[in-house]
Amino acid sequence: MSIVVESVRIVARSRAALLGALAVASALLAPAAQAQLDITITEGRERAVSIAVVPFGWQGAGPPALDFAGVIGNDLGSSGRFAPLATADLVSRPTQASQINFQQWRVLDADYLVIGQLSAEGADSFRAAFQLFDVLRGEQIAADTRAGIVRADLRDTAHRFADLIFQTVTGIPGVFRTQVAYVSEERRPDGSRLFRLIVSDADGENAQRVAESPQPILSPAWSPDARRLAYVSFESGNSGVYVQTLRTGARERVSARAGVNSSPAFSPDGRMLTLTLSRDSGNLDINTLDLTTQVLRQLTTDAAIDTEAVWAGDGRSIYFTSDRAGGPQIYRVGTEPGSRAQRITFTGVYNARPRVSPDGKLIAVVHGQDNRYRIATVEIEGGRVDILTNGRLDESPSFAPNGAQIIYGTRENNRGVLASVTTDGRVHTRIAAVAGNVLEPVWGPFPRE
Amino acid sequence: MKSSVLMLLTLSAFSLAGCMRDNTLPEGANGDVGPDPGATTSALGAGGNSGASVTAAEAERIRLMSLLVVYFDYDQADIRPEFSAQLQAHGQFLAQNANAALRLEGHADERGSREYNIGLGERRAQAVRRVLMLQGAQATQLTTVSYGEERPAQTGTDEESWRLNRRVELSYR
Amino acid sequence: MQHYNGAVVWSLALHVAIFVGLAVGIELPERPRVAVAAAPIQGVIIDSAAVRRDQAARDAAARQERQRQQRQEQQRREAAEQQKLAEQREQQRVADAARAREQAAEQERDRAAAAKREQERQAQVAREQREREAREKAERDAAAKREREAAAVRERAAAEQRRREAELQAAIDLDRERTDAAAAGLLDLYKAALEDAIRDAWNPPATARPGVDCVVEVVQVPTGDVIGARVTSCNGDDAVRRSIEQAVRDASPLPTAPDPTLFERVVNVRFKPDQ
Repeated sequence: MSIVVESVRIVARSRAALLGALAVASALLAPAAQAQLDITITEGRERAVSIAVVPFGWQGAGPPALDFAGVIGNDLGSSGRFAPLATADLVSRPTQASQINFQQWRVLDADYLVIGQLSAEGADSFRAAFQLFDVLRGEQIAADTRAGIVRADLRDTAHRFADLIFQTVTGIPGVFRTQVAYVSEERRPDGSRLFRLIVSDADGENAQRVAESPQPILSPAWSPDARRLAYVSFESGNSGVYVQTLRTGARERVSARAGVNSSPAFSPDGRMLTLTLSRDSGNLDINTLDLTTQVLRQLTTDAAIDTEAVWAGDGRSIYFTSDRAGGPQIYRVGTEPGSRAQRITFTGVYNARPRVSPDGKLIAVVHGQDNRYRIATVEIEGGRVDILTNGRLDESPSFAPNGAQIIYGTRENNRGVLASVTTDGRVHTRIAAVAGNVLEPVWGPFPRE
Repeated sequence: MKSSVLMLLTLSAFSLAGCMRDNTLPEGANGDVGPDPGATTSALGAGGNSGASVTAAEAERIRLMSLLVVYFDYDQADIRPEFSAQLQAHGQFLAQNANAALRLEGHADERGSREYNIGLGERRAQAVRRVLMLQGAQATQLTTVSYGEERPAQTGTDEESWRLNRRVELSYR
Repeated sequence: MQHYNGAVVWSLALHVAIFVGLAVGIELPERPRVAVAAAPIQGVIIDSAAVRRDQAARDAAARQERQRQQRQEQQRREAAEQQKLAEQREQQRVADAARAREQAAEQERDRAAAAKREQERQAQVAREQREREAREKAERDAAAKREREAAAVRERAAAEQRRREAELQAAIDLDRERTDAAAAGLLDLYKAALEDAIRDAWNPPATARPGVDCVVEVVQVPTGDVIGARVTSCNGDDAVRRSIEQAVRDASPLPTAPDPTLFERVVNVRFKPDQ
C-alpha cells in the first residue's frame, strides 16, 4: 500500500516537473511579440526644428550676388517651425558634401544641414544649387540645382529652395514664394492722410504700390490666380469696389451703387465676387456679382448687418458675419437660391470677419471678449474656439495657402503692424520688414508655376 | 425767401468751417457743438429783414440747426433722447425746404472688424435718416454714407476717443 | 520601589534574627534523670547422697528403657519387615493388575486411536477440502478485496495526485502572478521611462495627425544605446517617417531597465498621435 502511494507521489512530482517544463518551453517558443517590449507614443514635443543653413559657396566677382543662406534661414525661421542656427555658431562652412563632418553638426544639436553653391556664369546668368542633409542619419534627403537664373530672379530661387527644404522636413508645402497685400496709412503733418494699397513678397521685400488715395482704402482680396486684387476705396466720396489687374495696373469699378459697396471676395473659380451692398434699403446684405455677365443676386435679406462674405473652397457656400442674433456672429449660407443661413459660431459675444482655412476645417475670426479683440480659429464641425493672439485690437486674419500660418494686423505703439501666428497658436512672429502704419493684410495664393 | 437763403448760406459756411477743424468736439450729454451761436445770430442780424428782431423760438431753432453731430452708444444705432430736438429741427427744416439736401455720414469707433464697422456706421446714418423723414424730410433729400472706422474724429485708443467717433455727421450739400 | 527594598531587607533580617535568637538563645529547663532498680536474687540448698541414688535409679531405668526400646525396636523391625513384605506383595499384585489393565487399556487405546485416526483422517480430508474451498474462496474474496482496495487506493492516489497537481499549479500560478506583479510594476516603470524619453525626443511634423499609425523597430543594447532603428510599418508621409526615426535615435541612450531581467533587445515603438 505504501509502495503504491509512494509511486503515485513520484508520478505526481514528475508531472509537476513536466508542467514546469512546459511552461518554460511555452515562454520560449511563444510568438515573438511576447519576447519584445511594445510601447506606444501618442504625442511628441513640438518645437522648432533645429537646422543649420551654411552660407553658400560663391564663385564670381565681388560679393555674392545674393545671400542665399540668409534668405533661406529667414524664410524658415519666419514660419515658426524652424530654428536656424545663428551664423556665428556654425562651426564650419562646408560648401560640398565631401567637406561635411556630421559628428560636428550632431554636437551642435542640428537635426538638418543645408549647404549650397552660387556661381556667376555670365553677365546676368547664375547657377544655384543646394543640398539638404539629415544630420542624424548622415544622408542627403533633398537637393536642387537651377541654372540660367537672372539676377532679378535670384531671390525667388532662394525662396524656391526654402520651399523644398520646408516641405521635405515638415511634409507641408512652403509659402515662401507667395505674396501678401496690405494697406499702409500715412498721416501727414498737415493732418491729411495718404492710403496706399501694397503688394509685397511674403517676407516683406519687393513692396509695390498698387493703388494710392487720400481717401480710405480697405478690404483687399486676391483672385485665386493671384493676378487681380479687389478692394474698397472711398476715393469717389462714397465706398466703391474696384478690381485691379496687378501686372497691368488696369482696374475696373465693379460697384458704385448708392449706399454701401464693400467687402469683396472672389469665388474659387475667380468668376464671381461677393459684395456687401446696402442700396436703397440702407440694410447691408450679401450679394453675388458675376463679373462676366454683371448679374447681381441678393443672398441675404435679413434686417441685420450682413457683411464680410467669403467663399468655401468648393464654391457652394458662403460664410459671412451677421448680427441678426444681436451681436456679430458667423453664418453660412448655400449659394443656391432659397438656401437658409445657418449660424456657425456660438462661443463668445463677438465673432466677425471669417476666413476659411485651405483645408476647409477652420475659420479664422476676430473674436471680441471683455473689450479685447483677438484672432481665433473656430472649428466648423464642433465649434471649438482657439484664441491664437494676445493683442487688444487684432484684426484682419488671413490664412497662408498651406494653412499653417495666419497673418493679421495688430497694434504696437499706436501704430498698425503686421504679425503672423502658426495655426496651432504656438509661434508668433512680427513681420518687421514691413514698416509704417500698416493694416488689412491678406495672404495671396500659391503662385501658378 | 431771401432771409432763409442767407441763413442757409451762413449755416453752410459755418458747418464747412466745423468740418475742417480737427480738434475735439466738446463733450457733454447735450452734445453742444458747432460754432459760436452768438456769431450766427450777429451774422443773421446783419442781413435779411433789416430791423426784424429774432424771436426766442427762432433763436432756439437756429441753435439746434447748428448741431450737426449725433453720438451713439457702443454697438448701438438708437437715437438717444438728447438728440431728438436737434433732429426735429433739421427734419422740419428739410421738410420746409425741398431744395435742401443733407448727407448723413455714419461712423464707428475703431474696435472690431472694419467691414462690420462700416455696417454700424451705415445703420446709424439710417437711424438718423428715419427720424428726419418722420419729421417730413423727403427720401431724396437724404443720402447716407458710412465710413466705418476709417475717418475718426479723434485718433486714440481710449474710451473718450471711441465715444467721439461713434457718430453721424450731418452735412448740408 | 527602591527605597522599599531596604525596608524589606531590614524586616527580613530582623525576622531571621528573631528566629535564630529564638531557636538558639532561649534554653528549655532540664528534667532530672531517674535510674531503674535491678530485681532481687534468691538462693538454693543441694543434697549429695540423694543425688547419687537418683542417679543409680535413673541409670537402671535407663537400662531397662534401653532394653525395652531394643525389644521394641526389634519388634518394630520385624513388623516393619513383614509389613514391607506385605507391601511388596501388594505392590506386586497391584502392579500386575495395573499392568494388565494397562495393556487392555493400551489395546483399547490403540484401537480407539486407530479408529480415531481414521476418523480424523477423514475429517481431516473433509476439513482440508473445506479448507481448500474456503481458502480459495477466501483467496478470491481477498483478491477481490485487494482489487477493490487497490482500486480505492489508486483512486485515492489519483485524487491525491490531482489535488497535489492542482495545488502545485496554483502555487505555480500564484508564484507567477506574484512575480508578474512585481515584474509588472517594474515593467510598467520601465515602459513609462522609455515612453517619456521617446516622447520628449519626438518633434512631430504638422502631418503627424490622428490617423497616422507607424511602428519603429528599435534594437538596443543593455546600456540603452540604440544600435538599430527601422520603420516596419507606417501610413504617414516622409516627414513623419523621418521624425519617428530621429526620435528614437535622439532618445538614445534609452533609459536602462530597473531590473536587468526586464531588458529586451527589441523594442517596438508605435507612434499614434491623438491630437
